Amino acid sequence: MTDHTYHSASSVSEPRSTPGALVTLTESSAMPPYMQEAMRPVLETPRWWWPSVAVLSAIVIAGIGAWAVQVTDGLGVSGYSDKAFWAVYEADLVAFIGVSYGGAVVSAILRLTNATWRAPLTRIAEATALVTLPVGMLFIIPHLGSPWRIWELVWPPYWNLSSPILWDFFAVSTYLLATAVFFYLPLIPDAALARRWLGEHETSIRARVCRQLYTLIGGRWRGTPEQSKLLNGAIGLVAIMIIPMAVSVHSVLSFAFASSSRPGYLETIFPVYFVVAALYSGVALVVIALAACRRLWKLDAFIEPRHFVRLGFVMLAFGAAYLYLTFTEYLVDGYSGTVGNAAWVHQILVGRYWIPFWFYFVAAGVFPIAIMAIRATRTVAGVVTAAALVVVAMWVKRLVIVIPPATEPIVRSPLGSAGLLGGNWGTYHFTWEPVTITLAATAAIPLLLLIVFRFVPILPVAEMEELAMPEEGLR
Amino acid sequence: MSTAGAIGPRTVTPSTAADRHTPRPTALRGAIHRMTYRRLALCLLTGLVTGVVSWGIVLGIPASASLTVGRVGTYPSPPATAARLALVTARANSPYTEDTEHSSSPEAGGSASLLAAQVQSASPSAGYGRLPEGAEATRPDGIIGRFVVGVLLAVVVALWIALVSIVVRVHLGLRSTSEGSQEASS
Repeated sequence: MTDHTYHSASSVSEPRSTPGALVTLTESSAMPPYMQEAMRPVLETPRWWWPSVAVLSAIVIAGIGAWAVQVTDGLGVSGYSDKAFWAVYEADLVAFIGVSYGGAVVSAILRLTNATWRAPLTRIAEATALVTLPVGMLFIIPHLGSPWRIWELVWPPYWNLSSPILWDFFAVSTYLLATAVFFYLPLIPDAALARRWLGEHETSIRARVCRQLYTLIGGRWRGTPEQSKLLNGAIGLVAIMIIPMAVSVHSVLSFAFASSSRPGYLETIFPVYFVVAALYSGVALVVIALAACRRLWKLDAFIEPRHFVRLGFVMLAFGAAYLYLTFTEYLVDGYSGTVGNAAWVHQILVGRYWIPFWFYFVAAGVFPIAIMAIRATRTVAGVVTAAALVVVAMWVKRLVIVIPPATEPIVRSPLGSAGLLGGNWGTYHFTWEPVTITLAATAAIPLLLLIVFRFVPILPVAEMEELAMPEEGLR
Repeated sequence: MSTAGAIGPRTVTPSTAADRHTPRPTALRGAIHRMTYRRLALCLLTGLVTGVVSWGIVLGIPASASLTVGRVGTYPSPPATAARLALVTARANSPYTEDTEHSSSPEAGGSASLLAAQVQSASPSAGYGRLPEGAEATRPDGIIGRFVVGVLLAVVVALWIALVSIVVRVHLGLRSTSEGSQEASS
């Protein structure tokens, strides 16, 4: 077992010969002290790993089965009707794609601001973004109802360029590519290190597979200053690109709502509202992922309480901004007194949707602020509890955004609700199919993370190596 | 102090208290110094040119009928205003009406008209009505709309090319520097 102290490898290994090199791989150089910790998920199979994978896989398979039932019997089995034409899948799509932004954007911001404390967090944050985004994208399929028409999104002759859904597809797929590149580039020096280390110590079949993977990714890495310069330029460039890209993607996602004329969807505030919501829930998911990895792989020496507290403050800032935007939206729509807007605001605040809205308000509005405001609760447990509540409550808030306007009757009959065009509110009822599909998507995220970290070092060793010295200097 | 392990623009690690107060270049500034903006501009320019050219080809193909007025840009007509709907509803439910088109009798097709009106007005895109001439141009099928859509598509293509070119550039660079270092060592 290596020393858990988070300190520079250069203080315990032989000095590197090349100034400015990320990690110079020479025959005489020893492995960084935290390489073993970073490679533990790759090298060891804990007792909980296979049962966890089995349970999560079973949930995912159950979700696929529920989707097959829906394809066979139609969207009606999922509670959809002409008076509830958008519901849980649209909320899932927004929520899951939203949580993927936190990892990439937080990592990009911390890189660009050169925050030295970021080192142990970046790999987990970027991996979380990478696995969450495809899961969120898949919700287009059950939301579509007719999955055999999904290819019309990618086949140009069928493009409807006036449809926000098509631009959602463009934006999200571009962002997926950017996230993959952002995950891949910092992996190059770590793959070179891991390959060398595996070459010396491991001979199992999986180790050979890993070695092939690491050769493919980092086989050319020598750690020379020229290579460091090249790689760091590319990482900096992608970090610059990924922030406006993330903002634009969720803005475009909001256009699916905001470009319609339905009260409750036609909101100019929606692009900003969606971006802030995505960042808020995304940072919360990063906190949960960090806590889980820290606990499962015993990374306490690297992921420290200060990391949680700092991310808690970031979460607090986004939460306060989101609370303000919620207040602004409801104030303006409610105060204007127009029939359509006043009706859904009334239903949300004190009508049929008051429970989910006030749950959001308490769980994602008041509670995180209280947690971070009180010094005694500003702990790892407190921040993780707040983050878990934020993720759940922000999903509920997406339901509140999607369902009330979709069920509101915008045709009002002078004959009252008894007429053919009567103003009856539609109703959306959860059934087991969308619940199972949503749970399956939720289970897919930890499942994919468990698989990713079986092949990839969980800690960015080279980056920690680089940032260890300034950290030590500050202590 | 060893500078091994430095990443990003920092090539020298401060070793004294005085040096610690010296402003160090941030990663962002380092990226600029390392002419990444030039590289970014080149990638984006390549993508934009490719996108605009592709877009021109798409516009030039008669089969691109999806951009013609009528398929994409049909608006509900006549406007589904509340007043009109109220009128339609009242007439449809009136036993005294002689208007067969909006009669409530099933054989006259009145219910179908009503349902059509209801569906039309319940559509998320309902309510646009006929736009003024100037405003029509900003719709995706208008002249300004087409230009904006073209530019947006070009930006998407540019971003894809930029991202892929970054990865290719890194790998080509690693290969050349790795071969160079091997030759030097031999």
